[in-house]
Amino acid sequence: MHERVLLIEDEPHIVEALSFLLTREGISVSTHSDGIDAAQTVARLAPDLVILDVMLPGKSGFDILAEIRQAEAVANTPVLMLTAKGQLRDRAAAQAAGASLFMTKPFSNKEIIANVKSLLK
Amino acid sequence: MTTPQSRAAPTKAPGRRFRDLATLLPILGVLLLATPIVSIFTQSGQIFGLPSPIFYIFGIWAGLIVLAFALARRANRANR
Amino acid sequence: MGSFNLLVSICLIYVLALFLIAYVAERAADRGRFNFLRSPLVYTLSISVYCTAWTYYGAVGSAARNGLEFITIYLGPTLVFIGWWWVLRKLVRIGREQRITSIADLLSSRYGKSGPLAVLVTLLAVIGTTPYIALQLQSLALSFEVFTTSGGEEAPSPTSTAFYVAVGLAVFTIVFGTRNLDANERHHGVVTAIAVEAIVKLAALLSVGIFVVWGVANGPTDIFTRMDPELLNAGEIFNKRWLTLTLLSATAILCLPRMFQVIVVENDNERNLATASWAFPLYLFLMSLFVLPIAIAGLSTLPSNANPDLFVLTVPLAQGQSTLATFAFLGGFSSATSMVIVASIALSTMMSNHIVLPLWLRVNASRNPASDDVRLLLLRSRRVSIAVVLALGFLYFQFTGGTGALASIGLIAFLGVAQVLPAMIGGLFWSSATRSAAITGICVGFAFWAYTLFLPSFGGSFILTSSTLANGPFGISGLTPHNLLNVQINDPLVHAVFWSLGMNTFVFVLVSVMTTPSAIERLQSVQFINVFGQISARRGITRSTPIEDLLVLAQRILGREEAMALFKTQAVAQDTDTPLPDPTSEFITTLEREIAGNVGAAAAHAMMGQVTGGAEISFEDMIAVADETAQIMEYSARLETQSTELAQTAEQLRTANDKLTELSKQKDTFLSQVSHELRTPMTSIRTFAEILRDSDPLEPEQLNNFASIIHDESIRLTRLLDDILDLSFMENGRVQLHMETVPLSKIIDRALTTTQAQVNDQGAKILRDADAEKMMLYTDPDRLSQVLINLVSNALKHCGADQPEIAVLSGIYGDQLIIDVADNGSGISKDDIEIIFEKFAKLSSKVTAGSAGLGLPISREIVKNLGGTLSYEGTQNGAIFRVALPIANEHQQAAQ
Repeated sequence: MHERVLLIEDEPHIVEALSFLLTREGISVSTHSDGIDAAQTVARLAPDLVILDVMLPGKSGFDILAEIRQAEAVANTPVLMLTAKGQLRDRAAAQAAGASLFMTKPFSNKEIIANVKSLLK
Repeated sequence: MTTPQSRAAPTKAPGRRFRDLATLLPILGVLLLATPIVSIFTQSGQIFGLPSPIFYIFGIWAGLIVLAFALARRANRANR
Repeated sequence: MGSFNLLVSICLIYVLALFLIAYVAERAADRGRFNFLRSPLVYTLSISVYCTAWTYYGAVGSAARNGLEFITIYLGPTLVFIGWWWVLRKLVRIGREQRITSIADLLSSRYGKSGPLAVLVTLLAVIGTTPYIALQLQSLALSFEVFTTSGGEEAPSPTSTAFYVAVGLAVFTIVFGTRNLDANERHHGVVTAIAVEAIVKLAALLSVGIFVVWGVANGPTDIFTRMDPELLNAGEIFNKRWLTLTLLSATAILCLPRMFQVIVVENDNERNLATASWAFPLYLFLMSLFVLPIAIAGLSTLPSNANPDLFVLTVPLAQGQSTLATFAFLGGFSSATSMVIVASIALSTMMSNHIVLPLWLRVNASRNPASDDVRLLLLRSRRVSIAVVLALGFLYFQFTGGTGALASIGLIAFLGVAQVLPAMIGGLFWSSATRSAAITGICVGFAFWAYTLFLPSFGGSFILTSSTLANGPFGISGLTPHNLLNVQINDPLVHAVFWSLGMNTFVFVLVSVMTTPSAIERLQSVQFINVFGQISARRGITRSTPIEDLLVLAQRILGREEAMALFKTQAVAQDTDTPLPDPTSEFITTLEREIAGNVGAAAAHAMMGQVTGGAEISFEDMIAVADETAQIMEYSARLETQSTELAQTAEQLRTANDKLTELSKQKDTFLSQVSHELRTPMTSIRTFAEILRDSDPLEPEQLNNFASIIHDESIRLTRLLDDILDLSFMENGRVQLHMETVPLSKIIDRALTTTQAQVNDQGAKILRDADAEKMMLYTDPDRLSQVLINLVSNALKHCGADQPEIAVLSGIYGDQLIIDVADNGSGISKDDIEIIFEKFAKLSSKVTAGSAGLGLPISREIVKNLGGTLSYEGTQNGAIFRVALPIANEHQQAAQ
């Protein structure tokens, strides 16, 4: 069985890299590159894991996370947050919003794969 | 910031009463010594064996000096 | 050995003793033992330089002729001193704050550091003081004569006596009066010697008085019974003359150069003034206590042809008291010498600072004053000036001695110098007083004084003939010197005081009202009038004067060590990293003031002007003046409304704090955005690099793709760093522009060539106007094309239309060249217009997703550096970015 991951990220090269990595691990990847209707996409696809960037056009990752946690059907979906800012404040905000894990860009491939796998279990 | 110069600190202003007195004293002096008031007291005659003009002028003069002395002491005490 | 030789020996010993005292005092001062030298007692005694030989001998003479009238000469100063809180206190404070060196310097400094005014007052002072010095020489010569003829010897030639005295005084004054260059520093040696002389003359006069009252007569009552009752003129003591003389002597204590020297320049502690306020009147009181008894004794015991002006000597001599008489002689000697010494110091300072130095500056105008040894020049000129002053006094004595002209010269000289009074008092209290008013007032007063009093004093032998004196010039009686417009003032002195001071004041007020003070006068008037207010520190405006030039100038004038010390303290105060302070205008003001302490305000201002590039008062200075005035007004209001003030201060602090917090937040935001912008490409690079490293062999196509992604992202990273550096340089204005004249078309060509690939990618259409592009432009072509590249590439990126069209159009509107870059997209939403020029602005609209980066902020900075503006002018029918550049006509034409 294939776990399904939804990748919400606006940088095409990062999307390409992560898709390549996760697909190679046998995970099926859907992508979404815009903040505004990201939460609806999550509700529609109901993935096993959401990888969510903080800085998205139109809406911040934190707001999207809050919407996911309020939508009953997908409220318990694990969410791995990515940020390029790497500030402690962001980490705290992510925890408060209910992120399952929080990673700072740039990350190591091994680490992110390990994290994705542990969240999918 | 202006830097402190190698000069003595400027004196502090003493109280209002002192300032009033210090302002008044020369006016008193001018009134008594440099206006026609002088004529009232300097008619011929004698006081304590001295001609009254001499007694009056030197007396007022000495009085002003004593008052100035008292004021100066107050001014310097205010700055201590 | 006759009594003449004995007298000469006594004088020599006395003078040697004075030298010794002066020397010891200087040594003590050098070792820093100031306590005694700085005591209020020494200060008060030095002020007694007011009592010259003219008052010492002449008071008794005057009492013998006019009774109590002599007292007015002491009453004026008494009133001024007990009223020290009014004027003297302010003068002394200003003298210290502004490093005033003389009365001429005071007026010059107050009225905009005016050179001509300083020269005028100096000339006035020299004209007013020279006869006075001659008078001292004459009284010395006369007293020598009395002594020797009473011993039955032949009288010495008055000329030679006066000559030797003049030479001796010149030597003493040069030795002790020009040790320090800083005229604002105390002459401890001189002042101490003057104080000793003050004690000698007081003791001598008191001794003679006590001898007269209790030795000749039987106590005070007895001596007054010997008096002719007519002498007192009881009942009519107060009259116009009484008032006039009191006014005149009060003016003299403020305006005479030597009095200004001892009261203001030599003062080093304001508290001494409080003591002098009663102690100096007391000194005068004691000086005049026995004047009338001595006069009575002289009149009643000596033959009727005896000169009353010499009663102080002749009464003891006639009683056979030669020791007492010698003491009395020393008293007169002290009075004369102390006056001459102080007066020549004061005059020499004025002459060298206000005449010699400005002349030298003018002759060497092309040279930087820092390049010559000004100190040596000043010292020499001061020494020469002392000799010149004494020589003038001696010559005057030589030509007029023996005639009656000298007798009344004391009061005449008083009135001459008193012409400074309106300008001085006006300058201290009236902010509308102007330089032109001061100059015209003094000139008018001086002219009236010369015409009504000074020239007539020669009795028809000098300029004005006796017939003019009697009937007026050309027989016009209304212009008679002693009766102008037939005002019927019988006393010539009262008449002259009325006309000269009256017209002086009138003209001074009139011209002040009609003229406007210049910026520097306003600046100085604030400093003078509000000397007791708390004038806040000026904002530090860094001027472009090299600090090294200022240091060199300061070293030449203040001396090496003192200059270095001053610069060091200022550097510490400014908290600079270097040992030298920044040339802020506040520092320049301080330095100018220090230099003014040596050379006077006008010369200091001129010298600083030469070094700092002759900059007049700047706009910033004017604002500073306005600020200061506002602050002073606020300060006076503060006394009543302290709580409001506190609240305001708290509010200001809060605002300042808010601003700082906001700045700090902006910095954080910027750093966090930079971090984000850098981490994003780094993430791609790292991830793909790890894939390449860790993965099993990839397909060549994939390998190629990943490698080129790494390559692209690296370039993106580099460009980003370049942009950040670029922007930071631009914002600090440190960008180097390479201006040249090129056709506009060339610049647009270059921009479009660079963006060609992008244009082709999107299949966009480019519109241009070839005719308009023919114009020549003086600009930095690289930078301007960088702006256009940014704008075109942004338009391509964010246009969003199916058939993108980009128009680059130009034209001249008024004096501006306009270049518009327009697209046919949907434009920029209202919310985003506000932020597109911010660094790393994140736009909300879907089309413009992603960071706008640094392109627009950089473009805007470039255009700003080129002197123009970059703005957004778009509508819903597309975005338009507009570059507006000023047209530099001369370059344009030169190019055509």
